[in-house]
Amino acid sequence: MMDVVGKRVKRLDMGQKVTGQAAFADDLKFDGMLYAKVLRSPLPHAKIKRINTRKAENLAGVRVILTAKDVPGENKIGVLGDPFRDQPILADDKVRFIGDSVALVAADTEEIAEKAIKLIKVSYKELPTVFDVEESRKPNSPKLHGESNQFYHRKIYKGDVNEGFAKSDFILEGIYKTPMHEHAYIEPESGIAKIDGDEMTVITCTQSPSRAREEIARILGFPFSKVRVIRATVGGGFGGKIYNLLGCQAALLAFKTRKPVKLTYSRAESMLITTKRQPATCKCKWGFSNEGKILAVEVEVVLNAGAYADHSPAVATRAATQGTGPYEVPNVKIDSYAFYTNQPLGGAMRGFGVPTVCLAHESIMDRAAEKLGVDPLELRLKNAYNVGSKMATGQVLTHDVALKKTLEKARGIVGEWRKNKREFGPIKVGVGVSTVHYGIGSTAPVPNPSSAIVEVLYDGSVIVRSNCADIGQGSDTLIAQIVAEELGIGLDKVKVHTEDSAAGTWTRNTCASGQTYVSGEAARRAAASAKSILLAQAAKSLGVDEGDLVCEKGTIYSKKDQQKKISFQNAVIDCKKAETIILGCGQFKAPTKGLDQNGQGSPYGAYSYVTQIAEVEVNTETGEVKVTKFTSIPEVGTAINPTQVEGQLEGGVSMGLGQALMEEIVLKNGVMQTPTLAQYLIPTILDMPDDLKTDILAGYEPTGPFGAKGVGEVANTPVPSAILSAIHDAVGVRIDEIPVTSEKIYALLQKRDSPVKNF
Amino acid sequence: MKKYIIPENLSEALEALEKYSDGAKLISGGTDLLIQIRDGKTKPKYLIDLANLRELNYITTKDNSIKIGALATHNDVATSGLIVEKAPLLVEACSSIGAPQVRNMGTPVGNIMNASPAADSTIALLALDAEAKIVNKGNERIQKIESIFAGPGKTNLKPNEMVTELQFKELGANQGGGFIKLGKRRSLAISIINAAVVIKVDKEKKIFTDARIAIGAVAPTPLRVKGAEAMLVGHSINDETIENAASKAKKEVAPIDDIRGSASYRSEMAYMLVRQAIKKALEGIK
Amino acid sequence: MKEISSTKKLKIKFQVNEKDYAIEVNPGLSLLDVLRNQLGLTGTKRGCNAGDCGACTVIMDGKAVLSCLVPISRAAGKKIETVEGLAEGEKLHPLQEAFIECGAVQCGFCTPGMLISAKALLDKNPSPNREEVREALAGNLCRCTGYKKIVDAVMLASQRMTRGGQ
Repeated sequence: MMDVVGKRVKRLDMGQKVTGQAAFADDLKFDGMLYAKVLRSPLPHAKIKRINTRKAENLAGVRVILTAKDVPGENKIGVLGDPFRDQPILADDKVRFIGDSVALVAADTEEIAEKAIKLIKVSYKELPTVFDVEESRKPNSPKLHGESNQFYHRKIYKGDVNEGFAKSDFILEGIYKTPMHEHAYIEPESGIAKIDGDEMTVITCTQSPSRAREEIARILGFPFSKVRVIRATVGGGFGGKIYNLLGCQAALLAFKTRKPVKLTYSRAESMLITTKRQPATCKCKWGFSNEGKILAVEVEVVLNAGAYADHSPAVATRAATQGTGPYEVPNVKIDSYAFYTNQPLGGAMRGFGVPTVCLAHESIMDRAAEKLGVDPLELRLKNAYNVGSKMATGQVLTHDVALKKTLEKARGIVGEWRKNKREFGPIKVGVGVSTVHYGIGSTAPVPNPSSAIVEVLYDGSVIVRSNCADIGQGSDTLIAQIVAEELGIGLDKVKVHTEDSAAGTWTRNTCASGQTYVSGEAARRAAASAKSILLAQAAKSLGVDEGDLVCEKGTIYSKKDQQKKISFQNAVIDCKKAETIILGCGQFKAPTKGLDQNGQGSPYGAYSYVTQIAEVEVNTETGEVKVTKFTSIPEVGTAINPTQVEGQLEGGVSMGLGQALMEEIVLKNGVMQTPTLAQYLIPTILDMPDDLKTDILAGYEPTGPFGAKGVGEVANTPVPSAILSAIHDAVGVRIDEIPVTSEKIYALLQKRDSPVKNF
Repeated sequence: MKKYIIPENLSEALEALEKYSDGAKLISGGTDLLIQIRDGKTKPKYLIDLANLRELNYITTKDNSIKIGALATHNDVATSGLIVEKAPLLVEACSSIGAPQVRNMGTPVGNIMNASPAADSTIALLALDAEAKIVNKGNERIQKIESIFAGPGKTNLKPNEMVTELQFKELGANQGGGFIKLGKRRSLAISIINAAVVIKVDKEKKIFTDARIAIGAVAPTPLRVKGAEAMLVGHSINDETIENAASKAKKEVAPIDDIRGSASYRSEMAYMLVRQAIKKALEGIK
Repeated sequence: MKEISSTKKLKIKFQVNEKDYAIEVNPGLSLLDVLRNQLGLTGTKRGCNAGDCGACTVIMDGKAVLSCLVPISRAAGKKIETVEGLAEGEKLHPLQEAFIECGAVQCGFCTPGMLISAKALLDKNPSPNREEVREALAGNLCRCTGYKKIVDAVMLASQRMTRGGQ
């Protein structure tokens, strides 16, 4: 029984947030601060012939105008580093999508900066364009970079699919598509850069301060040590605020003007130019035996990566590693590709390729169940991973695989909901199930390790230093809980500082559902390391072996003789007397083994699981879908803070519901058609069911801190599949593309064999 | 933008409109106009803010004729006991606009002056056969709102004219109304298509004696489908009559494809929504 | 009748969180701009500047409105409530307490707008049911929480407030 871990403690940052005191980047102001605006390309693909800034420079109140030639260091960013570091922060020879940055302005007011932007004259020579990924694949397609638009190909090959298909009793094929998605955090990106002596400080809404520092430093030609990144309160990230273009541009302006410079994107800019979810297609072929066993799976994933590489190689990789879903398959052939087009660039977004492959694998399983005449849940149970299962990558699952437990728990709920269906008039009701596994933490080519420092101060209170970016998911609180538990002290004694790269140490990006597992474990190890200093001191004071001592509820005592004890406080005082500083550091990276050329390896150190159940009402007259009930059954190892686990699931359901029913970035020849939140629609409260439940299954991951894994992306990735499955249950139509709008459902209903009236 | 003008009463507003007519825009709720200005879609030189014209904030009835002043908000209408009792379809329409904050700011008169082909309150008012009191300095006239719309976002009002009031007859004992909206989500949604119906019946003969059917987002302006109306009037109240009217409505609409929906879906839904709205209106009578 | 040149300042008086302000403003600004940039009340947020997200919601003369769409001239003589006015010194408003207890805050960006919309509801309807709470918050977008814990929090706060305390 733990004291702090596992408890629904109040989050540490909420007090500031409910009073409006929490400072988001745009809330901040500095003396003499300038305002920045960006001149953007109106063309999707063009050579830059000439940029004339004279008139703009002469406008009163304009301090500086910068173009590519003004970048002192390397004019290149890209989260994965070389060879995928292909985006200039200011376009040099050409622009590659509408919105590409061409010039920067810093002025005394936003208004003046806007006026200056309009006065800059750029002459372009238009180049042929390519927007469609199938066009981009063709050898004679216009090229964005180098010789080919294909810049990534991940293979995962296991066994022999031809043999597998030959042995199969039946084969199912499908093409599944997901569109370009927008993170739609309510906070548009913002940042302030300022230079103090030889140190550049950037205060911004970032998910990746350690990495952002390096990128900014390279742009400026500074050593990493002289760039400081401070994470302002982040108003939602979901992967979109790993992108650091804003920070780099603000820093460049601060460097040139020697003044603080604020850059805040408008909602339309945020929609157009910051990283998106790549539109993706999953083409697949699955072979089954008549007993319902999966014998072979062949998958091709194609990502429309847009103008620059950003995270696309990693998205293609993850999609491939999870392409068979959480099912045992002996013969696998997965090819996952990323192609350039003249569209906004894809980056990291919650789910990271899995939403597309999950749409495919869950739909195929439902279709197979229908063909076999068995319950879709039972078919999943038949094929689901167990301890000892070998994944498509050859990785063997060695410990606690709770997938089947989540499915078994779902059984009862599905049965109950089906029994209590109430249909009336044109309304049909359906219940659907989906399941997913999710690798926790990143895998190559995304860097993964984290570190932390724990210092026990001489009054027994504790500071934790890390750069684990809390973007609203509550990682600061989780780290505090983990450290408090490791040291056996009260949560109120722990202060976590993750916001400042001057205080914290290298931490992985907040992504891949991995902060609890990786950064949390790093913090625990740092606490354990600090603890060992205390225990060594206590061992001396008590005259026992250090190895016998435990630290619990503010007391250090010997397991062998509980009378041999000393309070945490007194042990600290003894350390002070001995002139010992109680300091510990720790680092952790998930136990992985990189994928070889056939995609064989162990890409993730741990996997979380979820089964989700949706109930929908379908209006057969209009095609409208209403999600009336939704339950998630996650297994995420130890739930360090159950309230936060629920929060992730509930929020994930809203994101998944939005993506199932209404979310889509629409572009016409590279021109944004959905620039506002009135056109890119996300669910309002009335679109979400109030009957929203999370039933957390207990679990334990031995490699994670106190048994914890991660939850962020099991939360949203299978949601569309559960909804689509429920729609099929209600009205018998199968959908292979999201979003499924009322219009699409209506059209499918008309095509069905039985006419609407008789249904 | 050259000047912001803030009149304290209607006659000052009319003075300002007279003086600045061509380059001026009136702002009441602001929920549409401010966004158009920010997007650069409209560039008025003068902005006349009507917010202080408290004399135009009323919802009253006289001789069975309901009058809604220009400053009455969607929320004022949706929560008015008078409207709830005497024209409930307008309550449904105004309640389905935007979201609570938008309903506290926007006005039915404002939506009419904005001439969106899809505005929920406008469609209900069209089915109520509402009239607008159109005023300029020294003159006032009444015009049916049906004839005010000239195209998407355009009215045929002169630059120095404003609408100060809408009026329509209370629904009587043998009348019923219904409003249906189809949106892409359940709040903060512009309609894919909407429909409003006001019918009158003869309870003894069991026939429709009058019908007004209005559909939004299916034409350049809010549309009365008079062919469909004619399929009801004089006919028995039964499913076949309703089917005929709904089918006729589908043929009368001329929707386009846009980001919210395709023309063919809108046509199909015109049929569905008219059918549903007529049934709803009938329920309101019993 | 006032006629203000767009290049001149407008003198304006209004009340925010029971404090009187008499200031000069650029007439082209919105109430949101003035609250955040001139009065330093940055608790109210700018999510879209187009009335699509609700993050800028304030209460003006008792009604919840989108401050990004309120021309500053309209604030003249009005009583405005923002998130900064909810707490009384150290003592949090029951809504704020409930949001914390129920885990209704994640990134916190939508929170001020949510609190204000909730307060506008409870001011008029002290004992709403869950559906009424959902209707009242239908103009406030949240991307993090899925809304459920927010409804839980508003219900908890209303129960406590009508009981006259905790």
